[in-house]
Amino acid sequence: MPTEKASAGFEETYREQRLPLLRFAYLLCGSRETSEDVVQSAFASAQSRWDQIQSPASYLRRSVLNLVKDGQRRRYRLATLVPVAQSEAVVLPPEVDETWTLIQHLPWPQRAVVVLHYYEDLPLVEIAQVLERSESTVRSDHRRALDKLRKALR
Amino acid sequence: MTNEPITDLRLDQHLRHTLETVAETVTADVSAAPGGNTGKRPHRRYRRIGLVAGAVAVPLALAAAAFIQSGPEYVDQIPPESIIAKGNVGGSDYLLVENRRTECDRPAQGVELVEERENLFGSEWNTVGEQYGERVDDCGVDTKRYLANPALFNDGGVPVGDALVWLWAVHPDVTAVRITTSADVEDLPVYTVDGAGYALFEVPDDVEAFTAELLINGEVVPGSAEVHRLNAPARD
Repeated sequence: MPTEKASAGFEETYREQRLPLLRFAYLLCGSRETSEDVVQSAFASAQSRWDQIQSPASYLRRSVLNLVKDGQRRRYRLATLVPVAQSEAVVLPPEVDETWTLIQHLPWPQRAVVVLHYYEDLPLVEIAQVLERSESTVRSDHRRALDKLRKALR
Repeated sequence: MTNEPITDLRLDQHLRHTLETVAETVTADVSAAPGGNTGKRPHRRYRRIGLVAGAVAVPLALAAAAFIQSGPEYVDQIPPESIIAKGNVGGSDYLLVENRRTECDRPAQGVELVEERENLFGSEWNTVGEQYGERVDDCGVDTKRYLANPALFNDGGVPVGDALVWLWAVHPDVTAVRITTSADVEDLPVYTVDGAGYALFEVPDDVEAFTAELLINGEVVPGSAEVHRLNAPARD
């Protein structure tokens, strides 16, 4: 059972981290509904062990990343079993819109590397740890992603 | 953007700007409470298989030695008799197996794709599955409408690096799934599991689109064709 102090810390973290986590999740999955779902799930999972979590922000980010990753796979699996809700329309500047579309069509590992590196500002070494992939694989994912984006954007 | 090659610095700045701009479109206007029940289906450890192009699935009387270990939560053992097909791609062995999960305390229908190196002994399960029919709740699928129309099927793909593997669950009368790419036409074998058919296709890395059609004794099932465009950004 979380203590009162821990509970206060949890609520404060929720207030501070929820929006950044929603944005992070959205960049990873492209779905507002899924973003809300995974962020809520991440907090729900963290709440029961809040006293033991050393770095809540890092923990929650890792949790969101893993939930999105699993969700990506499951979404593909269930693509025709369950209708996937369309993302709400957002008007973006044309160049941003084009690049965002390209990012969304990157294979999952490459997309994750792009978001973690260019949005979360993580070096590739840390991304390898977060994604539980080798550094060389992450470097390769990064290079391939940039090659595709550069080719498409030129 | 321009016809000039984009420099690393410019691409770096452009990506940061794009991601920041997109992220800012997400606002905190959701009414959820911390730790509350989302009402969504609980997340399951039931994930992916990694495949790269080039493997051929083979009927599995030959695969007895290839089974990996399985259990309800962590990898323990997969009974050899539940293995339907196996293959090897990029140095990684994979299996198509009967679904060994349960739904509402009943054995779940369908199949799972299991990549050996992603499911090492003692690790959590990391597979992806497919079922035939319409999911009605957490306890299973309804096949009535599907069985009345052989053109209905379920399919899904999983990105692994630059590769995809595609898996179909089809009507029991379907005898093959025809794949047409710009370079090739291939009829995939269909394996029967739980009264439905299952087929898989390892999408070659250089394929940007393919068409899948269901066949019954060599004849295309009307209305079954589906075009898949891969990694191609939607453009108006």
